Amino acid sequence: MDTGLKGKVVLITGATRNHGKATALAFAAEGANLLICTRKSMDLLEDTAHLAADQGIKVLAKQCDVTVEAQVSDLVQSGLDEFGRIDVLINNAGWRVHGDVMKLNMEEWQAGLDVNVHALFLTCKAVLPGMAERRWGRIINYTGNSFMRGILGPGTLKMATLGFTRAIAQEYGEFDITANCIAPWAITVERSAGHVSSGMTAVRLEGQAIPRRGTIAECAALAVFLASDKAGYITGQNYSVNGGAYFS
Amino acid sequence: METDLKGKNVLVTEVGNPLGRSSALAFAREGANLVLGSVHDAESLKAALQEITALGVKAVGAIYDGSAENGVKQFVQKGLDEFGHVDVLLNNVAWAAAKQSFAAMSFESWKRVIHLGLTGSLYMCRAVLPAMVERRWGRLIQCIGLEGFVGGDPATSAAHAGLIGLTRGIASQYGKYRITANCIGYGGFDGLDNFPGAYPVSKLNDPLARSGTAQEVSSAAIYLASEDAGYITGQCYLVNGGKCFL
Repeated sequence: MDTGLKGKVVLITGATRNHGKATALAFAAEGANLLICTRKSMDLLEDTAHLAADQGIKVLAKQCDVTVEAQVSDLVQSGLDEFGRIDVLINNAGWRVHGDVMKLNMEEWQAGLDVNVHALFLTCKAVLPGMAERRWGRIINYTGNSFMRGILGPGTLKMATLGFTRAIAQEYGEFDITANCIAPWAITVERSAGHVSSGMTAVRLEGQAIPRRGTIAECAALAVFLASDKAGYITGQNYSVNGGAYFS
Repeated sequence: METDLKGKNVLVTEVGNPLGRSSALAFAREGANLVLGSVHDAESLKAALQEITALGVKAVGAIYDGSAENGVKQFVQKGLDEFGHVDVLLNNVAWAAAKQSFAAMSFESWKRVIHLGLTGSLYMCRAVLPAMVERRWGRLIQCIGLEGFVGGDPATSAAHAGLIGLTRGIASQYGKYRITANCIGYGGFDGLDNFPGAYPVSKLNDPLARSGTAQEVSSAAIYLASEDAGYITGQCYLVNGGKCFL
């Protein structure tokens, strides 16, 4: 399938491993140039950059805390200086907040809001004017099935992501900019030490239509499709990649 | 219909907006006592208190700081001091700023709406839950706009959609205490969601071809708070004249 992504410029946040890394490599394979960032793991980001550059595309790898307005502006500016434009924005960076609503640590909650919600405002604010000017753009935000499963922290923050995505879809559709979410579930990923995922422990594969865990590559493939020219009439949606764990 | 709300204690936020006022009155007509609050509108609060006590039920009210967890706790404590417990929370999400397009919205304004609308509602749920758990009965109802489904002011879209996630999380965690948590998604009300930069209501389907009334929303709230609605949880019931379908 010709995705029309060759030569396009894709910004991916949190591209050190898992979905971010897999997405970066999937776009590189389509011939897209990349602007990728991480908050602190530059060595891992450089690994992603080298692997992506092996596909013969240009990669700019930067350190950026996506919750800080000035850093997001700098990041996007450096991408514009290098490539002249940004066509696709993939908000992958996330921060997981877990626990009983009465026991939530409010500092953790704020950190979750900052990374999962406020950062999206900042990255969209930085890239949308250019997309509107060129009358083409793709915003893709990673969510999950947590709000379908009633998992409180991620469910709240990712549902907020979906609401925001739909607002962007509504406001920017006239510029041929689409905004969608990818909702992975039961995907095999690496977690940092100490970061348990209540979502994962709750996964019961035997009740699932496709009774196996999914791969990050299967999610990245959807990102590539949603960013392609073929997906220009899909907007405001939340597409699950979940082995049929939940139908919606 | 017997709602079993007589003598129950119901906390309603933002009586300054028409849905809050109308819901408070509807609960009073069912014989419930009311704890009323607003983050800014002392005049509406006073008027609502008068109207409600005239119906022969008890009511207390306060202006409170919805942006700080302590402010919310103190407000709820006022209700607990007066009535001993709160059975029902009807959270009318406060509007924190003029609704705007994304292109026009500042980061500060965005953060304020999210903080008051989403984190402020989280504070409210945390403040009322312990007493409900103790009594093994409770109803949490969040009254939200349709923006999270159809677009509109991006901050409201995010905050109100987030409340659906929060509601489902609380429904999952607290169902074992016979506490239900649901949302009512209103849409198509004159003066509530017709604002400059709003999603164009005129572009949506409109099967009933009219605006809704505040009473039509408060009736849904009464039902969700009633004993008969005890098996409904984690849901978002739309009261929107069919302007969008889930």
